[in-house]
Amino acid sequence: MLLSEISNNVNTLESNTDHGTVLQDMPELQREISRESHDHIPEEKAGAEAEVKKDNERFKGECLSPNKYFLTFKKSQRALAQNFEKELLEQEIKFQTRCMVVLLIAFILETVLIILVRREFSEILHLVIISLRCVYCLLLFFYLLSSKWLFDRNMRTVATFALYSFGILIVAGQSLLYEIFDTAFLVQIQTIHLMEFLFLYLIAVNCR
Amino acid sequence: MSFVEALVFTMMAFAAHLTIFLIERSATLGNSFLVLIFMGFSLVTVWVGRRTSIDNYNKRQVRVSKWQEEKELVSQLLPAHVISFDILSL
Repeated sequence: MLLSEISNNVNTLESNTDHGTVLQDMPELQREISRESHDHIPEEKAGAEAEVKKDNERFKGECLSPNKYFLTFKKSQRALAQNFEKELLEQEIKFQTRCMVVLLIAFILETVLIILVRREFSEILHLVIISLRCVYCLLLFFYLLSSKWLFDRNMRTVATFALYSFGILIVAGQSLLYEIFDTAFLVQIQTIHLMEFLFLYLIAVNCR
Repeated sequence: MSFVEALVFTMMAFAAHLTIFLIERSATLGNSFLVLIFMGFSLVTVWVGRRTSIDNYNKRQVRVSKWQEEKELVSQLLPAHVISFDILSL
């Protein structure tokens, strides 16, 4: 509309004055066009925002309104929240599987490292740690295989909690038996335990 | 993981960390600070990620609802051949 007005003005100028005068006015016209178009951008943005707000108000019943700090949902929104969780699981399942694979590889590598720095293999405590770690690796592997069937959110939560609690228990167990490791590698072993602990925590919290 | 679950898990993990590393005699101020900062950042990441997911879900719900509403309105219109027939008859 504005452009049409400006073009009308140009036409009238052309009709009223000679060609040279119109050409002199052109930079001013261009400046006016650019200024007007820039003035319109905030208005359009405000209009779009207002429309979005209006839509949000209109479809408020179909949107989730979580607690501000804990992001929990009210009981009245249980069905909607379940739908949301299900969709979130569907979206993140590939990423979670990759994270589990990385965790499995890291755990196997760390087990190999711990076997390499052990003092003696014949001691029962060594066998306990190594067998516990192997059991954990097997559990992780089965979890990876069965993740397609553990699609129910509650089942997944319980399985993840159990698995990571078991992992932390293993890390804790091997930390308590630090005497069995070679003292020359003790600092490195403690660093490995800390890294393993943090890695388990990271995967448990972020990549479930 | 929901934010509350992450919070509970963090508390459990921190308690486990303190227990383990105190018994192992490797719990230093540096270690504990590192663990605390790491857990804090993880919690913030979970909170922001969760918030973003909820916002995206809400936006999509609004879009789907609008689309359904428009579809219902369009379905109430007369078919194109009926309109053209009326115009021709006029």
